[in-house]
Amino acid sequence: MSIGIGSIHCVLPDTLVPVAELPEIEALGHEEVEFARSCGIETISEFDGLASGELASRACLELLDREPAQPDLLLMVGSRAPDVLLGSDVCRVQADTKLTNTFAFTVDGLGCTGSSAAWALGRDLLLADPAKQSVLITHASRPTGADRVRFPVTVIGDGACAMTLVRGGRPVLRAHRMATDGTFHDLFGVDYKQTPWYEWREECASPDRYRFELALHSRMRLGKLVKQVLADAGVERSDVAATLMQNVTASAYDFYSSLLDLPIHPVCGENLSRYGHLGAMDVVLNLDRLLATGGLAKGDLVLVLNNSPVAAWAVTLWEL
Amino acid sequence: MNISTGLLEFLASRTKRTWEPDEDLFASGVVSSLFALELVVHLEKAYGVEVEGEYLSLENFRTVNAMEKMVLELQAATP
Repeated sequence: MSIGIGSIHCVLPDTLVPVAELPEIEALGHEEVEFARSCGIETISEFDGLASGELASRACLELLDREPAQPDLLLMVGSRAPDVLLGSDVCRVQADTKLTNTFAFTVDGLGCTGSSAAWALGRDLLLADPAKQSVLITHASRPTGADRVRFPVTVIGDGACAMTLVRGGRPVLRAHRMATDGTFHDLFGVDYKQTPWYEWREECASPDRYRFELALHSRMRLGKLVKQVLADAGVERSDVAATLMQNVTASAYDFYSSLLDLPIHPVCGENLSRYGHLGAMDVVLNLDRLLATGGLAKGDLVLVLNNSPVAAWAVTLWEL
Repeated sequence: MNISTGLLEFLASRTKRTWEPDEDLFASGVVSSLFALELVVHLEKAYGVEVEGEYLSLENFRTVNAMEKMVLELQAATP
């Protein structure tokens, strides 16, 4: 029995804020402002004042309205900064959604790649236990502190997603590979213990290491993972109908297209420009929009790349 | 043409300026992710090496001299 997607639901606000009008722009240095203006993000989505858990609950509730079955597992991809320390954001989502018989837990520490790790783990758990029928995965994107510009990476938008994995669902998860490299674990960080939250600043220990060393590791890792995934599925690169990835900057699409000789589908750039970077939600949104508008047919293969500067990389092949 | 001269020519053609063998590429601000990719692909194709693992360190690409040293090491290690 194959495992695939039951439903996807994304929550995005009606309010879009031009990056040029973000309140922090005036306080940024020249290089940071130049980055924010040229990274391919025109507007960001904003849910002012909402907590990550609240947003994730909303995405799950709206999905469960359409697909009322009780999932066996609720798997939350951890947010950049948890709403509560010591408490549990995922159990808050469980309480909000009244999924009393569902077991809830979090996948964390993988940045954007968390969503890919979550669907791979969900697939494996369903395959491992025939008694389980479905897994609900959710994530909400909110900035770590008050600022949204993450120089030299991206600009953060707000949103939330929910998706289910079910037996016999489509697209089918055909193959998946992932990898981590712990030596990048402190490339980015926020000194949250010494400062109040509104002064939290994401610090990149070395922008050169990010732009160069991590980029080269990504070239090697993603190149190998793509080959392995295609080999696992017994298909060729030319059989892939569309390739998606996370939305960080417009130049990243050029980088990965050159790197892998796989054109990144334009739906990614459209979502980047409109909503900004939505963390682990990006690939879920891109897949949802591709399925809704991409002109693909049953049996077509969609390759989803995902990586984060933690550093983690994942490649998944879906069959429509 | 030796490795150092070849790399200096490659850098000049891509950045439209001249470079010294011990000049810090990263201090110049020219290194983007895409440029990093171009540089490594050039090294691998021009000198028949595969840059992987511990060789993907920033320090091995900081200057033309450092890149030449790395290429020579990789060539010596290639059977």
